[in-house]
Amino acid sequence: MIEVMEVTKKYGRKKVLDSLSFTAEKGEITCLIGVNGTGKTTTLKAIAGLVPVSKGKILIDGEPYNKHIYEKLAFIPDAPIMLPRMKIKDVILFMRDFYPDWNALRAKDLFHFFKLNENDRIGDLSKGNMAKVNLLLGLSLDVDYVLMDEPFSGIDIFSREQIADVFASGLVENRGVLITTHEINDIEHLLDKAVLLGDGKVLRKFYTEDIRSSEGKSVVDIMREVYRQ
Amino acid sequence: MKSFVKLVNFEINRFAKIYWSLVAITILSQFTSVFLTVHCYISQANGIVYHQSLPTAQLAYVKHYGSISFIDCFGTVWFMGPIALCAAAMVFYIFLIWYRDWYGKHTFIYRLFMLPVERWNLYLAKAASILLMVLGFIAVQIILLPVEHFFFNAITPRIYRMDMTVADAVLSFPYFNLLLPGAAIDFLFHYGLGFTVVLVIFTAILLERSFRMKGILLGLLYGFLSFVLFWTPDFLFEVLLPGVLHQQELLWIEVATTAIIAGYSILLGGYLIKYKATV
Repeated sequence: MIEVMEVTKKYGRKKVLDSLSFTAEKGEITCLIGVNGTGKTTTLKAIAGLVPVSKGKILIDGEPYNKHIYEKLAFIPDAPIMLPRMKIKDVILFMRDFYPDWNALRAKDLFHFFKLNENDRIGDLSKGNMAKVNLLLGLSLDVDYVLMDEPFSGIDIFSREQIADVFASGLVENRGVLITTHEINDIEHLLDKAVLLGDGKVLRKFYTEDIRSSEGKSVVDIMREVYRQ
Repeated sequence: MKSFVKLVNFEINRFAKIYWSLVAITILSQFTSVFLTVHCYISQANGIVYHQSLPTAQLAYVKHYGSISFIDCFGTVWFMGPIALCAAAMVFYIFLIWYRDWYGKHTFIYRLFMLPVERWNLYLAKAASILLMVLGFIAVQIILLPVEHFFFNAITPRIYRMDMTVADAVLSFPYFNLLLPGAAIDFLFHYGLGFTVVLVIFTAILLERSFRMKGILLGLLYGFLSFVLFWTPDFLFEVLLPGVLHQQELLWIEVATTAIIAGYSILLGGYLIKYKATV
């Protein structure tokens, strides 16, 4: 389980996260929702150990940050993070070299699923193909948790559908997925839990099935209620 | 250890094209220097000898104007220029090796930070890459010198030439003496000191990457304090208490001080990259 406990993050005097607390369990898809600047990406980066927090604790299966967390979680950012001159095949070799949990078979499957070209250079990829490569790199790791930052941001409808198909496939089964997205419609039916953020705080968190059955509302309905107040 | 070696290999490969270009420039430029130095000398000599038309004119020329030796090739821009260029490139690269990962077209620092290795391996791998590249340049120069010497001998007529060994030429030329010190202890001290400076800069960069604006000041302060610590034994035993220690003893104290600075730079750098540096 990913436990975010009373986490505060300040950039200078600005508080980006303010005593933020929530959990994300294995086998569930949890979505962090919020308008721009509410601290969604900072939260993912903090969980991935990429930005230190000012206060509070983040535990992955009960352990604080250490080098082994990257054997437990993969962070899939919304921007390219491999060198522009590297070809896709070089990137795959790089990952295979450094990550003991690299699953070459799954990487091959995803590579064909996304219809990528191994000789394409990272710097020449479109936004959609870059998102696919990032997904390939993250999902080919045999890790328990996957953090995805805006996987649908700025990409065409066909690529979005292809990426959404990944969620419906067995690739994220049994893993804990923590995702941030604006394009909630694409994956609303797949979500288990939603955490609504505002000004770095949790405004509301709920299981999607609960609000569907008890209140007959969708995630978007709840978003309207919370953010229009 | 395996990850560390992979990281060093990766870092060196990232700079390989520029590195080998610099090596190629050095080789071409230094051979050009040897050729031009000899060519100028012989042209001048031939001009004067031709006008005098005497069988002993060449000897007279050498007697009057002096002979040419291998060391004469060192003092040209063609010879020292590429060395300065390589040195400048390495100084520039000490900063670039970090900042390109944050400010490059793609933020590769995300991937580096997320590798399943102890983060201070990143710090040490970058430092080791710089050290290996510098030593690589030195190795290339050490290999080049005898070849250039052979080339010099091959194109210079015996009558004009003053023979000297490569070692003599290097030791007689002040800049080379700095680059390739004669004694092993001097070599270790010079390059150990240079490596320590790299570590101090690395740690200052990580202070900046951790605390941004405040980090710039902290980095400058850190560099200044390290500099003060390095000069403390010199100041103490050369200015305040002269004659208390022999030069050799002072040198060993300086070696120890340098090792302490290198040690705490690595410790602080390792701490910063693990707990404080941010993407």
